[in-house]
Amino acid sequence: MKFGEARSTGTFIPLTPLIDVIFILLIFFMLASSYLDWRAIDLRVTRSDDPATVSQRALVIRLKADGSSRMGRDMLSPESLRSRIETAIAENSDLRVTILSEPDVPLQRAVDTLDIVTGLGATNVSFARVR
Amino acid sequence: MQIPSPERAPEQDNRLPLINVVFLLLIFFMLTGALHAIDYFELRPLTSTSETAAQDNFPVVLVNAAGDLAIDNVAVDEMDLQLKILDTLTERPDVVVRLKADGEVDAVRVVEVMELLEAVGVQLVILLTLEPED
Repeated sequence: MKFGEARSTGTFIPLTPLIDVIFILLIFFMLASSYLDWRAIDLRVTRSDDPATVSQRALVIRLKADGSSRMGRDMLSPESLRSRIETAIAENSDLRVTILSEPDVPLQRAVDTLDIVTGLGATNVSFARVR
Repeated sequence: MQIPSPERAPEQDNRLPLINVVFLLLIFFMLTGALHAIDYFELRPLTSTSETAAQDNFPVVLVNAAGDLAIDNVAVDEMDLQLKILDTLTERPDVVVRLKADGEVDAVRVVEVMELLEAVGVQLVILLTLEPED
């Protein structure tokens, strides 16, 4: 018995639906993916009415609503803040710094001050609010 | 003289390079990006020079410019925030709360929120920031 020669049949797979699905997946991942690199700042809270935590030994930087900063009674420019912190850290490497915010001070300003303080080597920094 | 017409490749063959490129783009976006839910509030992220990578898998408390609160993308008031954190603390006593705040929010409000968290026993609060653009 003779069988006929098997014919090679070119299988046709329609690619258009595949491309549609891949495009939709691509658009989904492009829109839903986030490339933001979030960083973290560890925060401690100091109660400004607690004499044990805000002692005279802590360096208190007071952020005022008018945009100025004070340390004790002295008004500070960013440069003088740096020099004061540097001097204080040179005297006491375990210096505690408290950033005390008055109402209506934007958080970004407090974080900028925190950056300055930690950039100069202070490790014991906390936030507090004026009550 | 009759020039033979060139053989036309099937139309499907022309799409293969396109499919290859789209596949590669898809794989790139799948591997390099991280899927995230859109925040409940639209926030202007804080910027700082901190280089500590943010930890994942901890609850995120959102504070918008008006001082409103949300936790894990659900709006809450102060009492609900404390209750939800208490629930989390019973399951995970070492929980760290991540705070994502608007850059323009009153710093006093953020300290208040931190005090609320501290009052229910949170040991550590981390403030989420981005690298400054410059």
